[in-house]
Amino acid sequence: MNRKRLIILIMITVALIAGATYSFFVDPSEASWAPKCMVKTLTGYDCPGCGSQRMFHALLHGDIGAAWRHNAFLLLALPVIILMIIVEANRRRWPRLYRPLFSTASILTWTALLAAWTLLRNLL
Amino acid sequence: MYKIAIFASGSGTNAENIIKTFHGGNLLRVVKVYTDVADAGVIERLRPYGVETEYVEPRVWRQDPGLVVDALRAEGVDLVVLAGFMRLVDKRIVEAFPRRILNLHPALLPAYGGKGMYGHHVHEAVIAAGEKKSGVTVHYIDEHYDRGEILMQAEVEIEEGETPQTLEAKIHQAEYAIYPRAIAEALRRMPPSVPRKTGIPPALPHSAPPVPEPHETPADASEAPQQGSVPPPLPEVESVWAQELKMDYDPEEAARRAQQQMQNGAPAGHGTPAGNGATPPPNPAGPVNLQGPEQSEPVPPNYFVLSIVMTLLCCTPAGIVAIVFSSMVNSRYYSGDVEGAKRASRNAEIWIIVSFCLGVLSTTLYLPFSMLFGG
Repeated sequence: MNRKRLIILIMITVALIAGATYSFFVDPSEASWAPKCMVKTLTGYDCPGCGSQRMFHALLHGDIGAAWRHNAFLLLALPVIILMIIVEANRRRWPRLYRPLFSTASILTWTALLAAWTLLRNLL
Repeated sequence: MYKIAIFASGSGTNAENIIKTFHGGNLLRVVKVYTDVADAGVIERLRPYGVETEYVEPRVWRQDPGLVVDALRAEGVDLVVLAGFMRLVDKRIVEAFPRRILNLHPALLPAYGGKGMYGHHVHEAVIAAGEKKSGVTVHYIDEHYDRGEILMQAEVEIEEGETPQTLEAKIHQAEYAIYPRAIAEALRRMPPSVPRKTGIPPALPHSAPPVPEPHETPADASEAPQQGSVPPPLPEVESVWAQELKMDYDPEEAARRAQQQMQNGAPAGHGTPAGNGATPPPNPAGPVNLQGPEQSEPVPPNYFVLSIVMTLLCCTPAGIVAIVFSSMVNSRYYSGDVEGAKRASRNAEIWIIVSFCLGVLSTTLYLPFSMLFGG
């Protein structure tokens, strides 16, 4: 791993740790100064990411039930996303894993699921 | 024209014989010779034939054979031929080229095979056991020494008073006679179900050079392979490619990377025989010569994961645009539209950045915004 990639990796790790720390200590439900979703504010509808802050907060405190209530899709998608990141970084080593995960079919599935989730959470 | 790679550790007499036999024909071409010995005789011996030799250091053979696999795939190698290669071929190479690696053993396997049974050790053991016959065996490689499926054998008679040296000479003659024929036979048997590499027309060896029928060659047949009857044309066989890597394999990049790694790992003695003041052997050229328009450039990044994350966490509308572009990258690339794929990749990247900025913007503007409008 060369210098540049190492620096990027360090920056990402720092950002993740900072984000996790923030999420752990700040309960977005309580703090009125925490950022809210623009889409929701403007249109009143939930975007697919709404509740993600509260979800992370609940997750870091171990409250899976609350996390599920805030953003079920993200909770389920999170391990898949992490897997995809790892596989993408190793795509030459695991071509058999990389291929289905990053095929056109896969991304269309993601899009469909995202759309379905957005619709559902606004209708129910 | 099939592409052959040779692995050799020693003086390269068999490698030379193979190259000479098929030279000028249109059945096969030896594209590269890989060796694990920095000052192997094969490097010097093959220089006049213009066949590239590449030294791959033992550490790579042992610990990182994936690099060898990458290089072989990048060259488009159909068949790997071991000609005096002393190393046990790593499992990963065997798995990448199942039934496509040949070895030549100077005995009639399954007898006198296994670890330690190489070169003169074999002949000494054969004579010590009082055998009346020995021979040579060409077999496919699996990951054990000398245990793969046998392709072809030839016998050699052992006379009274035979010494390991005289037996070795006879065995060498049998080797030179049988190996080219066995290679032709192995190519004839290449599975037609092997997927075709996009952009490459199937190899049609209409007029293979005359290869005599394989027969048991007595020891005294010391001539080179004869110009016998022309065999029937070999079946159409697609050039082998890595089907499972079709999604994202950029052979040029892999070849460059593999060659770079091998050169970085190799000491100063890369390809230069010890004590030779002549000019160094030709270095592997830069990018590998590829066929097929869509493989002249590596596949552009598809920003897949990032688009999804941006849609979820930052700004949904912009993120959706990024996702759309991201889905176009791969489909365009593999239908041959490299330029379109690059444009889609760039657009995906742009919209990811837009999404990120909008997300940041909406966050930072939220407070004053809500204060102004009462949230």
